Amino acid sequence: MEEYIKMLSEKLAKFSEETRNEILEDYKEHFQEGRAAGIPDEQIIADLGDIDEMVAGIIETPAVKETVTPEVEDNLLRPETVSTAAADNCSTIVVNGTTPGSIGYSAAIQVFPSNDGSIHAEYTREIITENSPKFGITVKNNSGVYAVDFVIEEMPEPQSKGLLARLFNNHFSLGVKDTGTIKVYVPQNFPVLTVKNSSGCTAVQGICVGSLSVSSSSGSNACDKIKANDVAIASSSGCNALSSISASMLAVQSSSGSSNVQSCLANSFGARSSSGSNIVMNVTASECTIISSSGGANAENITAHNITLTTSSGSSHLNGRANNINITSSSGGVNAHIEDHFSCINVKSGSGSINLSGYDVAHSVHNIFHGSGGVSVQAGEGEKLSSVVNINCGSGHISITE
Amino acid sequence: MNIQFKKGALEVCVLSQLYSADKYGYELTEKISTEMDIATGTLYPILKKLKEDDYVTTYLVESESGPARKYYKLTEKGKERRRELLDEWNEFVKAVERIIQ
Repeated sequence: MEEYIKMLSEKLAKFSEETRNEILEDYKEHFQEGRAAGIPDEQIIADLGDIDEMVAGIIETPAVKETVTPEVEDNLLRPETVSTAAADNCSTIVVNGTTPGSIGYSAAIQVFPSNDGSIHAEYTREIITENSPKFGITVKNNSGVYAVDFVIEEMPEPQSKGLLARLFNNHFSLGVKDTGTIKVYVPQNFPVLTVKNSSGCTAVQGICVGSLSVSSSSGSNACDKIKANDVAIASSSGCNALSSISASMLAVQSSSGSSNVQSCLANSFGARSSSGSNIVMNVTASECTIISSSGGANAENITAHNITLTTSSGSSHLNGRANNINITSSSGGVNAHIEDHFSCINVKSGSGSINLSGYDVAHSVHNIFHGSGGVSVQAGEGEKLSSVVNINCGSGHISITE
Repeated sequence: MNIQFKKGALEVCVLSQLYSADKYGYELTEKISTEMDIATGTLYPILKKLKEDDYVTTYLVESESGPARKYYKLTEKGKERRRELLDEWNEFVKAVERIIQ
């Protein structure tokens, strides 16, 4: 039998590996059954007949992968494009809470739409003492850029007793008792709005703009009810909170702070964090990319054409629907509940465990699961794991439930 | 016998055998080769083609005596195909009978 199978394998060399393996498996099974029925190999071989005649009967249909209707994509809501108009020959507004040089403020900056289409700003302080520094706000039209700057008009002696504003390592910071808020009002549909802050918190609300960029070093960023073509939110140690944002490109980034995103619509959505976690809920996007290194990624109710979820040591949790899903985790676990309409799922985990549940595999083309921490796959009720499922599991336990 | 002709005849035989009950490969070759002098090997490419054309599906059943058995099951499309082929076959047989009488 072995010799015969070897010869058959050579005769089948011109066919695809899939076809070759299928025929070889059929023949092996045939031999086993024949032997079990007490028929000698020679007789089985004689009955099988001329190999060349059999080989001539193999018709290979080119593998046509059924194209999955991208229902997710078709059903996606699309963010509307924002038409913008410059004013006073300016196309950019820069709200700068980080002072030039070495002095930084901790005041909170809030940006709102203005009623009359002009740019103006006000600074409210909760406590003013005679030792408080005096602040001024200037709005300048500087060759196409409206610069909203906060300047110290008068600064008391740093060593003064009872000083509420202190000088630390050349960093000027408002004292806790001298908390104030800078409110900036900007016109709607302006082409570019940039807000920078150092340790104070920044909030942007109800703005319709061409391109929005918000960045802070240790302060947190909060953006709510934004409509824009491009939105980029970044914080180093502060947290980011985004809600109700519609944008073609939406990017949120933090290094040690966490990002929390809720109810957003984008063509391209990206959340990146190094040690902070990413929490993303109710996001619809054509491309949805969430990358966390040591922080975990929690993605709930995501609808996208492509979902990419990458973590290194943090764990991944996904509940969503997409045509293509890629989840990669090096040591963190993966927990995914995937609803219908997908064509491709790739899940990789180094040492973490993988749990997948609740999806309709009838439409799937490839499912590749890999993990040494164990793999558990549970199809939705009444669904069958009938399509191509490749499970590669190092040392953990594999459990499959239909 | 002409290979194409034999293949057509074998196809309707296989479909009809599966119509009564699901069968595994060896069982099918046994059923057919006891009645007909054929090279049993030729059935496997036919089964493969039937599967590709969605006339049959396969499923594995663990066997007590040896390796898992690949069972072939007729699909609704396969049942329709069998009906068509049977009609063609009957037409052909009637025509041959008329000619040779």
